[in-house]
Amino acid sequence: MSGATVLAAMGIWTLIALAVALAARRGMGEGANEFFLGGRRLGGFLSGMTYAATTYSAFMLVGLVGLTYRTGVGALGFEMTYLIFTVLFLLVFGPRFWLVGKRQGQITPPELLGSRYENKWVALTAAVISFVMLIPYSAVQMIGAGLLVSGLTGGQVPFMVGVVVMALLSGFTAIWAGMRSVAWTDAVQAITMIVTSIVAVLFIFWRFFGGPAGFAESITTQSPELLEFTWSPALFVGLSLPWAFFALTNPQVSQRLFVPAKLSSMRKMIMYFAVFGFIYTIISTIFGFAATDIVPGLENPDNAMPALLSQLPIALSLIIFVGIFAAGSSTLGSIILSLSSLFTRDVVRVVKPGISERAERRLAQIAMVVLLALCVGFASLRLNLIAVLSSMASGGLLVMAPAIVGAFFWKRGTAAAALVSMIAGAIVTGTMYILGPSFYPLGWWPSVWGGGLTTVLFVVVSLFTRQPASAVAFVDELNKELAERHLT
Amino acid sequence: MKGLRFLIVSIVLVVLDVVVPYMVFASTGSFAASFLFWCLLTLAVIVYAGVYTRRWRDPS
Repeated sequence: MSGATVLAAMGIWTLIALAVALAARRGMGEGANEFFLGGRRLGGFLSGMTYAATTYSAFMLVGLVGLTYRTGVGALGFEMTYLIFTVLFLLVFGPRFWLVGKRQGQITPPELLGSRYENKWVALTAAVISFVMLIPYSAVQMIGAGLLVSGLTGGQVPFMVGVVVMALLSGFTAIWAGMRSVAWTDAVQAITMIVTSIVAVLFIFWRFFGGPAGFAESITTQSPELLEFTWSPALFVGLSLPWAFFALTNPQVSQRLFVPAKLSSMRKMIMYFAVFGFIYTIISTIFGFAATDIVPGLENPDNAMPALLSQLPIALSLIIFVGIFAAGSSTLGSIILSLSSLFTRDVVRVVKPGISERAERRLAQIAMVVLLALCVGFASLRLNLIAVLSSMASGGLLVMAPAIVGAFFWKRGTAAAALVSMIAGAIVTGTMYILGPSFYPLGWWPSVWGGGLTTVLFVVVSLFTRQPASAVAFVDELNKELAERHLT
Repeated sequence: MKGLRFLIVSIVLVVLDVVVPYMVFASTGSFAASFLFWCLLTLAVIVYAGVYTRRWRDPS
């Protein structure tokens, strides 16, 4: 594919997204609540689409396709397990985050933890862990864009062009009008992601297999081993566990539980997201299966999608490319906005509690520029660490799960326990990921050890330290409100 | 009671999610095995979510 064609597609898509972001600013008010959460008045469809576009990154049409290509149906199981856990967690924690956030005015998930445990260091620690884990993960989105454009054009468009264009698009949408512009562009990007992938999969069915039945017959006949579930329990649990808790532990998604205008909007958000995830997951794995037939024998499974694109008509390749680019940039924009809110609410306010909301917004916008510059710098190093960094991001954030669950369900949970469990868990998990698989005890992944360690530490330390004075009231009042609204 | 019922349903779903593909379909090379099972199980969870949230109402 020629460099000019890819640049033109990327340019047109960027202009569309920018126009949507510009329009989203109309009607935006002042203050942190408005900038970071869209004033807590997003409708169900917008909430669902921004949740979906934030959750599903370029990993789906590159990483998951490659994982299916290499390991078969286990990849579908892993991703569906994530979706099952996420939907169940949203039913339980969605109303809880929403009610508490509305009542107490919290903007970030760490802020909620700090309030529940009556300790600003809990919020600060959660924010720092989020930075450490999510900055490299953000860079991975840009690396994906760079590899995709340079791969598709045979190097005519340099790697860094993809990186910088994605940074500029994501940065602008987040800086311009915060959650409003991110949510609106996310909605457009989510629709683009799902429509382009449906069109592509239908084309592949009929062009290469004569229809869905022909596709199923071809894979079953030629590669039946891909439909057998051959993953080891260590691999399945190691990959699935951190992703299962993704909805709770990743601030860029848990923060979205604050944004629906009403409870009925949250219901729609959950349902729209669930249906989107279900369709997008099946399509991504079908691409992987189809690639085994159309472009067999690839050494690097991450090349399965680019190789598949090379077999399609240019127009179709371009729309799938735009879909992948949209998936990456929507995730990146959401993470950058979320991290900037963590920086101002949970870091800056610790040292300067009286900062005005206007100054806070300016500071967040500056923080986003700095964060993006850091990510671009990180991406430019082109370290061969994509898989490690992606795994570490989800595995590392898992260490916050016991403190988050305990905040809502265990009155006995203490600030000391939250701090010890998060810090010790992050150190142990991070060290294991960096040392590599040969250092995984008994072959089980760091997320398993880190998740187990943090849970034990949280429980044990809680039992030996003083419960926050307002913990009982926090949980009781929440339960009362949930009962009044028939939510328990 | 609703909370307990939800917890039991969730545990059953998660156990099925892991146990059935390993114990029943591990060596079946067909779309009508693990692939279909995981799709149907996830679909069941989505339907359950729809039923579970049907009473989520806003105060008038």
